[in-house]
Amino acid sequence: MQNPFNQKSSRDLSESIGLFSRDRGIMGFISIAVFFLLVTPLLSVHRVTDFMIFCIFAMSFDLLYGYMGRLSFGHLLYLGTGAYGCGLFINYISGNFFLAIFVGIGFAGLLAMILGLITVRATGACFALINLAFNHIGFFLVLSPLRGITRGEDGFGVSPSKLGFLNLSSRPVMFAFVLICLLLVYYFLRKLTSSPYGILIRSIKEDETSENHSHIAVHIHCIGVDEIIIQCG
Amino acid sequence: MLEIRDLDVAYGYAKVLQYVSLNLERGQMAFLIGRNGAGKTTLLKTIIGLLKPQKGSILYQGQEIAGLPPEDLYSKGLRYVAQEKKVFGNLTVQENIEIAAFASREPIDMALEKVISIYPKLKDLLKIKAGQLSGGQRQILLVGRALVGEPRLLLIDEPTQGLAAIVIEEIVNILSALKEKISAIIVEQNLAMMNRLADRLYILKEGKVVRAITDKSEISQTKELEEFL
Repeated sequence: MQNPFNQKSSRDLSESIGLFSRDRGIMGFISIAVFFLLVTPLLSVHRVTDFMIFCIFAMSFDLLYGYMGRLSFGHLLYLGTGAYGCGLFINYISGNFFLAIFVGIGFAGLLAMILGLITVRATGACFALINLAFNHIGFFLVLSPLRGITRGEDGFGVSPSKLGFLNLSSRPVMFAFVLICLLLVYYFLRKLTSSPYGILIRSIKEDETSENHSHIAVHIHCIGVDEIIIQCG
Repeated sequence: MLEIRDLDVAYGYAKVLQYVSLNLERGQMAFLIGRNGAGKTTLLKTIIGLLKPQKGSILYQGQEIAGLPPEDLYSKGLRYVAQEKKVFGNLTVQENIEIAAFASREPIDMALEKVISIYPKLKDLLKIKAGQLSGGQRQILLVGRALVGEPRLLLIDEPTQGLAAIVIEEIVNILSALKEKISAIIVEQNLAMMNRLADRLYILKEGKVVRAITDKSEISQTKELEEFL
């Protein structure tokens, strides 16, 4: 069957758009790295590292709200769950930082999967407020019943073990590690949002009604996006 | 292909469809006609799984599908083109088609080729936001999107409503090219289109099928159809 596409012109157009997009991606990469490397001497390594962590959180939240159009007031619950999972693992089980990260991600992901079954059925303000409610429950649990291990409002510090030459107790090393994570998350989210799955996510923001989405289980993809956000954050 | 038996559908306590029965063979096009509020759109929505029937059965290729979710029916080859002509306005035409390709796990190139083949003018509009298309172009995009994957039964709700005659002709030509390849149930008020495409005709009035014409030759000879529009 003759391809009705004018293959050459559509390929040229696709290539131009791809190149442009790739150039923008590379510019974004470089800009992020240069910005943080320049800003750090002006502030402090510790503050900039914290800022980068919240930049990762912001990018992942953009996937939920900017791309999918679902406002949530409770997403810090998952950041906190991951952080506590990671910290408690280091304090009580093993100082292996990379294992601890996976444990933190696992905890947060599991929580998101369970709560997502409830929250994604809601939309609009209900979705926002249900997440806020769960966030408050998590906050209360950390402050009161689990105070014995979380140390309540005081929190606790962790000292991960050295892994070969990697000493993540050192602030510059931690800074470099977080910067690499930031760049990786940026790259991953760029790929995701330009993929067909990313287009699907944007279509959910556009029109979540079942007539237009009768071919996909919208709530399953909302849970999927929740999971992606958790892993990023 | 499709057999509906004694279907009852209600919105709360308001019965919209009562004892509706319908048959459709493979490759046939059935038309539903009736006045506003007769229950035509409700019937299509019930078949595609957007509404659950209170009673009755819907057999599709011998399997009961009443009450199944729309995404399950999509994977079985049912496609629904709603009356409202809603596209994803902020996404490009190509992205609208990509969503259908993603849902039906068809390669995007194949999906684009399929849609372009039914309406070549869409090739120049791929990078334009779907919200900027005219009503006729949106309708054609929606029909094209429904053809992505392996559709077996199309449910199309008033495809020519509010469109110019020349666009209606294009849509009729597209549907005509699909005859005998895909089965379809089409809700329509356009008698000329119906005379050209229909293999069966079901007339709905106040939620009931008041007349079923299964002989194609009888359809164009039935003079009193206009009173049901």
